[in-house]
Amino acid sequence: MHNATALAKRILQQFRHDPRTIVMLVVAPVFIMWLLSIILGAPGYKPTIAVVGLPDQMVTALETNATVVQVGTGASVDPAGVLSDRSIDALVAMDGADLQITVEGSNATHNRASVSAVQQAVATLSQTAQPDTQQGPPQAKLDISFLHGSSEWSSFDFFGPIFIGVFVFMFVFITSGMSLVTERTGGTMERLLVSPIKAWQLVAGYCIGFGVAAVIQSVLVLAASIWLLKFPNEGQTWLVVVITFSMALVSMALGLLVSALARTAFQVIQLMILLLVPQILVSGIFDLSTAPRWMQILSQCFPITHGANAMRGVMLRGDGFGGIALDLGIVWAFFIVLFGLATLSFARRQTR
Amino acid sequence: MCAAYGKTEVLHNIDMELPPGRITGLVGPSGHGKTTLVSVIVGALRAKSGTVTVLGESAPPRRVKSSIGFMPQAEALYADLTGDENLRFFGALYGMTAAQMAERIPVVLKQVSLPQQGGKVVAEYSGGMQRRLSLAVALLHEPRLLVLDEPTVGLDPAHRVALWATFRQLADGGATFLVTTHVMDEAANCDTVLLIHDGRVLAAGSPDELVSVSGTANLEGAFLQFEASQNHTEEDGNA
Repeated sequence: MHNATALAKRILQQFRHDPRTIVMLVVAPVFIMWLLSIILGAPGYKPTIAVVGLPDQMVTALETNATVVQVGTGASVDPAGVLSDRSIDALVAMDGADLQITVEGSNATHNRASVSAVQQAVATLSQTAQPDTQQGPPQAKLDISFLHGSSEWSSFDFFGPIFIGVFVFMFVFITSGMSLVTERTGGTMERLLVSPIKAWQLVAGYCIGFGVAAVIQSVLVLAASIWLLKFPNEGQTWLVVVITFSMALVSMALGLLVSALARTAFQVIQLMILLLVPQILVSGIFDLSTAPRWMQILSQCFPITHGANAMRGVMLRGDGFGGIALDLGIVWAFFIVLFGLATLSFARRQTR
Repeated sequence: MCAAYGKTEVLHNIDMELPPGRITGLVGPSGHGKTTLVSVIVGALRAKSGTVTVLGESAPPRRVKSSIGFMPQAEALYADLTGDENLRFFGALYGMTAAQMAERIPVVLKQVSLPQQGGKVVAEYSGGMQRRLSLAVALLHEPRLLVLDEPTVGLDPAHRVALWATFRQLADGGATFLVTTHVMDEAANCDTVLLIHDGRVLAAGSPDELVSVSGTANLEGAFLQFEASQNHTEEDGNA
């Protein structure tokens, strides 16, 4: 183990001498997270809704989520006429006891925003209205509630945990891949292989070194995400760090296993595109519940998917260790298998 | 012993012995198998056939590995670490304790005539300094067998002379040396010289023997003489 820790220490020393890389590893993910929080976390679109003959209470309720324009008083307004110039997204008219909603229809976001604004207005009214009031809500009570989080959550909050896991995985793969290429071309790998270090110690040393570096990175990125970007974290932070550390180990073992295939930095990038990008695409960034069955099964065959699942479990659902044990166990199973294969491949390169 | 990269056989039936406490030189032009030969001896490359016996153990045992000091042809240092960090990393790989290293590091730096560089990373060293540090790494754990691939390339004459004096001193202390070089007058410092040509041993003997057997004025002449006779034999064989 002495050999392995010496190797791990050397890797961390190399990081210390390379402040640019350290800055890149922390600043770049935080910057990307910030960009995502702006893009995905933008406030929802506020629709403009025209109303005809709605009770005052209803109009007030609508105004919290939409810009309301009164058009006429009768029910004889022609929807086509009102919506034609596209400055108005929907027309809501009272038809006896029913609400008639006519949506402009050419913009999916605007449609959804309009319908949900009306639904929310109805829901608000039904909560405050007396059961025997004549002017009560004309439709069945709408009951929208959130099991986790709230209507305040933006898309960014759902993607964030996956991205933190993916960053760690990519960072370890790229930096360790480059490091291994340098060792190979510079001749230090030859020196390592003729030294008394055992193959498993070599693999373990690399895993510890980059594992520790990944933990430091993920702690800093997490801290910035939670405090600067107001990222919601429902669970225990140490569990998140356990998951990122586990993902770093898998990435390192995978990198060591395929390191024999890369002789140049460019080939490291090629391997990353080949091995990592498909995994990331099916890891949960896109919802696969309507994807073909084989795609759903395929996504379960990759370690990033399980790491991302566990990340979301802790950060969004507040899962404890029990809740993520299965996913974490699968990540570790990947690690153990890859560690074994990487050790075998290095043992083959060591002739004695 | 034979060695090959893929299907290209680089070494053919090499049979050699390194006498303990002696400096053996491998001399020959680049691309004729010197590096391949030392790679097989230190265990960086597997022999296609035949065996390598190091310090009485035939190839495998791990304990023998810590008795070998290897200086590859490439610098083989971590350019982003300081010299001290490089030495300590390789020392730890060879199982040295911090106390042992604290004692040995000043000694080897003196042996390779490299002054302490403080916090300077290796990337800022000159080529010659890197070469000497690389040699210091090979010497650090007091190996009994030293395999040095072109140790003096890129060094100025003063350092070159100093290094050969160090080699001689260590050999007198019992260390066994295998040194490759393509500079003939350096080979004159060796006890035994093997002339390598096209993956074969053309001739072996002390520098003086080789010169007198070939009837030439110096080693360079001897090498050319042996090379010419080799080519002559091949032509005869083809005819």
